[in-house]
Amino acid sequence: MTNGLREAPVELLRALASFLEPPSPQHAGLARVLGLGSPPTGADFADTFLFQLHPYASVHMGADGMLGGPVRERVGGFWRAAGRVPPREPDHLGALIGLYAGLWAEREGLSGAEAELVEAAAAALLREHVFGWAFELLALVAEGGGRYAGWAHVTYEALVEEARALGPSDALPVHLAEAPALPDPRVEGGAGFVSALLAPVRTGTILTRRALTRIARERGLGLRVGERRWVLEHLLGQSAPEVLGALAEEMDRAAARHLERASLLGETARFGERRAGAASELLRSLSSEGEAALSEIARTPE
Amino acid sequence: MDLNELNRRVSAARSEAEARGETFYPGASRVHLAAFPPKERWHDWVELDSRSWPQRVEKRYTLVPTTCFNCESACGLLAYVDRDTLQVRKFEGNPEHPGSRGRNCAKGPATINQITDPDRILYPLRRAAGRGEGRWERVSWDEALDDIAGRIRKAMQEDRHNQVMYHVGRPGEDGFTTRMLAAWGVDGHNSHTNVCSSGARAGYFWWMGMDRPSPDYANAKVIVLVSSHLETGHYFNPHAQRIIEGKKNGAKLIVLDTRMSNTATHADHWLSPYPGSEPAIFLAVARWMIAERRYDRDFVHRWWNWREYMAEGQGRPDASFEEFESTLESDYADYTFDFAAAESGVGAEVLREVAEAIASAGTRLATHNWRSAGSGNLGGWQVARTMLLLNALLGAIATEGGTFPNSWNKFVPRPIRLPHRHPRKWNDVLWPNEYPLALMEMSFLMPHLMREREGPVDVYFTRVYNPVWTNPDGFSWIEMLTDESKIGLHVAMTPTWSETAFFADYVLPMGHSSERHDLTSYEQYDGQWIGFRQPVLRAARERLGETVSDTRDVNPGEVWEENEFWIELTWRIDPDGGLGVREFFESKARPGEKITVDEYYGWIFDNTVPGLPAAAAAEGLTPLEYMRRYGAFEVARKVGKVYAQPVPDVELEDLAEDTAGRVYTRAPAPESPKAPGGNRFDPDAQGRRRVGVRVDGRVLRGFPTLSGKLEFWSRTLRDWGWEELAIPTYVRSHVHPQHLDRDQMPLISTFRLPVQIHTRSANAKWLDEIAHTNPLWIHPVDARRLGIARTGNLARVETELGHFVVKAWITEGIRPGVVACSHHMGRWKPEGHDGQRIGMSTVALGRDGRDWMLSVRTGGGPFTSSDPDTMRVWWTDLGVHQNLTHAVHPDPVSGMHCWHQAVRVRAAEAGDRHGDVFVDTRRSEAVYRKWLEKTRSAEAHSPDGTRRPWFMLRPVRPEREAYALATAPASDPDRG
Ligand code: SF4
Repeated sequence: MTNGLREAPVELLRALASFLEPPSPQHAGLARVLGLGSPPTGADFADTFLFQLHPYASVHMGADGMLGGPVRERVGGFWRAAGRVPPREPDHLGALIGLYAGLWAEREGLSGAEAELVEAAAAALLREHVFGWAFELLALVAEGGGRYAGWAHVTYEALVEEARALGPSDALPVHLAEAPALPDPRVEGGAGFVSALLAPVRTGTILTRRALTRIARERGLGLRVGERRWVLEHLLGQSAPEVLGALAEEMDRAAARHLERASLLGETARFGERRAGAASELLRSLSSEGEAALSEIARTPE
Repeated sequence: MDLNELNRRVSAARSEAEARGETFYPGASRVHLAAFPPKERWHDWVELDSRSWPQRVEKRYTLVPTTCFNCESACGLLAYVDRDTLQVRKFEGNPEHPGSRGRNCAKGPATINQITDPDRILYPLRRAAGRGEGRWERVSWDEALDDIAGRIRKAMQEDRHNQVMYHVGRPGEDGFTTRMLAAWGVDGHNSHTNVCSSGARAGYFWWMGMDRPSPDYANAKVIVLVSSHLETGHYFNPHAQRIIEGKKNGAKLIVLDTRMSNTATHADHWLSPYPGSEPAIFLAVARWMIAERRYDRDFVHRWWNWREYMAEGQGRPDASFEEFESTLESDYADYTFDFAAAESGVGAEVLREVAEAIASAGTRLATHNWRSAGSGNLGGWQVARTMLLLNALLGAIATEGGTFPNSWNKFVPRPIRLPHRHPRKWNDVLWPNEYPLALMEMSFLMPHLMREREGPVDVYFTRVYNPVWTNPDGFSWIEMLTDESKIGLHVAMTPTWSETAFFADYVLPMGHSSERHDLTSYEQYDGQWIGFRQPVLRAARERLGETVSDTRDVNPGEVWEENEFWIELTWRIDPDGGLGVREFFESKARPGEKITVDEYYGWIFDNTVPGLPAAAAAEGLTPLEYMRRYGAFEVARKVGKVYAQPVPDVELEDLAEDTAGRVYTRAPAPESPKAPGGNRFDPDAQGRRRVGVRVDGRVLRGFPTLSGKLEFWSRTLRDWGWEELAIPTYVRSHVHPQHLDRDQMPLISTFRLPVQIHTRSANAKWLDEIAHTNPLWIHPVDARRLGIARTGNLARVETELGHFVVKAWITEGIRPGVVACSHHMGRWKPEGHDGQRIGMSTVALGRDGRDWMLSVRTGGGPFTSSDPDTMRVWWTDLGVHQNLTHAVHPDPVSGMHCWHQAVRVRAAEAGDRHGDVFVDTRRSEAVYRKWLEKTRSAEAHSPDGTRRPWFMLRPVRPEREAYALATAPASDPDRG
């Protein structure tokens, strides 16, 4: 299943993974070598990875869009199966790319069946735990501009290269296969609906603070400061039909991005496209409901 | 994009960097996902103004760290200072604080209520009528300072140093005040510890020579709590988060609590023992572990003082370890599971299951007792002592997941100009000869001791402390405080009104957590940190380029901070330096001038906090700037087993070793950055200092105990008359069924309400809304028996001194046969006095000779003030002040007040009203005398003619000569 002749760009991957750590003096040298321009500052790091896009598999592939839980546990299990002690945050993108580079470094001294085994592990790592979410995250980091945009672009390309070498797959990662879809609040009740909207695995996209701010600005709505669920609840409380329509547009854009990656990734990308498409459809249908029914959704306490 | 080319370039750069000996990749760092403003943006943090919603109004803040002052956990806070108005808008957690890690309990953020409380005291006040009559006049700080300083100066000139006393509750700071009292040469440090934690402390002290535990919960396999640490306890937020971390990692939680506390609800095993029977349970577990050989024999062999026990306790100096093991087994043979079950009411099978769990923890057993049973019972100090026996059997002392002693997880840096003076006279009101082994001052006996002793306390400071409300027998306190022949001048230093401040001569307004400087460090995990409390508006203005040299300039009204107050007071006590006191408060940088707070802390941060100067320099800051910016610094992590550290060769010079294996050296002690303190050990006959103990041929640090080992057997307890308690044992409590009449039951009063904190939080409206009353927990079976039909019905609870009237809460969350009432709430102010409106009832105080009555006139309800929220106060029940009806119960060994009460409960009588209290203080005197009979005084038992063992802790240690008893002790012919 693997291309035994191929070498992964181990050092490049390690260097890219290190940018997911808070900025340190070493990053200036790395940015220069990679041609990324000015290295990011602590404030860039905080804005990108603490406020907007959280680089954890569990956030993107977990049913609740939260850190930890079964996704993190499964990823931790993968580390153990690969003969490593899982770090404190085994599902962090930096840790995962670092592990992938480490597996390739380990493979260097091996041959035959042993080498194939390590390559198989590296492939499984990407397909099961990385491809299902990292492309979408990197695309949004790049779209956000700023000092991490160049890094996101190179990292995206590096993962594309690895995906190309592996070829598309018809199998779905277990995390995705198990993930519930966005519930229809008319059927299942409003409780939990807003939280579900914030779980990327249910909607096929990541509703960042930036996206919520844009939605509010473009529609002249008041934006409360706080966690995203709180913000979204109050946006819905002001004008649910408008906000649901705007969210559907976000999902349409995400569906298009997933579709572009379908020939590269196979079923994983098609899953994302289906989730985003279905979410968009549901939101549009909801937005055509009367205000009264919708305000019920917005007000249902969680 | 050519990825291969990029890969090649990175590889080449890496090779070059490594060839130069440099690190190429940044080291692994913590990758946080946190809800905190990143520290890079603290200085200019923008949030939308919630009150302007739905308008988008941006508010700009500068975020200034400080330390919470509401309990002893000293969690980090971040004050959000509005850059336009320079007012604090809110408090949140400080993510840079290693102990609290950005988290707080409800009381931390509620600091904003306290600083904006419309009823707070803003100016110095002097009484304008008789003491306690409630008439006050505003005075200047200068007038107050001159008057107080003049009296202290006179006392010092007349060699009456002991008539100056400083009475503190939770200090919330390390070192400043004890340094000051040492500089003054005053043996007047009086703490609340003996109404708080001495029971537990004594249990730890007699084992380890250190008096507090520091359990490593996060890494434990089994956690045993005799406390309610998940919702209240000491260091509770820092501990609670680590207990939960431990649980998430699979640790089993075992909770012993007669009440179903919030903590108990999280337990894997909740045991609800009869109050005071906890040591019987632990000894049964220990007996089983010993009998089944489920303990670490090697550890016991190496680290227990078993040889000393066999030689001196058993008279068998040549006994082998195996013989010791047999003795150990027979010592505890009676403590079967059945015995413990009979004592505690917890089934033998359950106890066996718990024992199995504990034994399976190995060195990952984290145990903790604080207050709770340790503070409730006669002999309560055996709770912690028998509990730590389990750690000592398993070797789970200072191991990952085990229990550490506090001193190794705490860092108090050495201050500038360390006083070399010690008080010359012994203060026998605080350290009476009847209680020579008391862990701390016998503070709660003060009204009784003052009745017996000659002479007054000429200047008595109560510092954020409220003995009238907090201590047992509060009416005796009022009798003492209103007697001017006993208390010459009472100065209450407090941010807010208290029951004690009403009986003061001066009330001096002191700052809350965001209005004062202090340095703190507490044992909360296996590491050491310091936290810096600072007046946040001062720091904010300094960031914006202003200079502030007096904290009063930024605090509300004329609220001051203690540090500057004490410096100023000391200079007025000794204006020309003639008393030799002023020198300790003089600047080093500007000789002859007053030291400033900046210099005091700046010197410490520059000189005695390892690692801080380098961390600050890496950010281009001075150490003081660093601490002002981040509020905390971690000095060490993973300290580990200090006792097993080899003593370095440089400290080993011309060694001598005694028969017990203690090693003495001629090498001087290396300079330590830590403040001196703790136990003291005499040199050997040739003047060598004690440096360690020899274990398996090597000289190791050992424990700060007399033997240098863990003391299973205490020579000190034996020598001072308590031979039967020389090993961990079980003492039947004063509320043991044997000691109760048929119609009596134990009352547990040692627990807090989760969001309240003794007397400090009554002025926090958010907290009061959540919790404002303290009903009587009573089991349905008892309620039925006593004719209390429904929750909310009134009950009359009779104690040794009188009675109080309280609402019943009928619940299965308490053991049948036991009642409980939190000591929180029941705050009051006398009619006609100013005071707190939001958390205090207005009461009528009546007195007829020594009969006292308190009855509630009004409580709670809305009122107008500068804060519109006070019109929304919907609650009217502020609880009952039950402590007034408690007699003093000093444990004769630890000195701890044994809080549990033997009471009679019945349905209230006609005319009884909620909150009523009746007390006869003559009866309190009788109970004091009854408990005095249990003591074994230094006069009768001191083995060496001293008042107290020299090695034992004292916060401000007097000179050695002061330890001598005035009269020679009766000698015991058996001891020579
Ligand atoms: S536990 Fe609560 S009250 Fe205590 S210091 Fe921390 S935040 Fe303050």
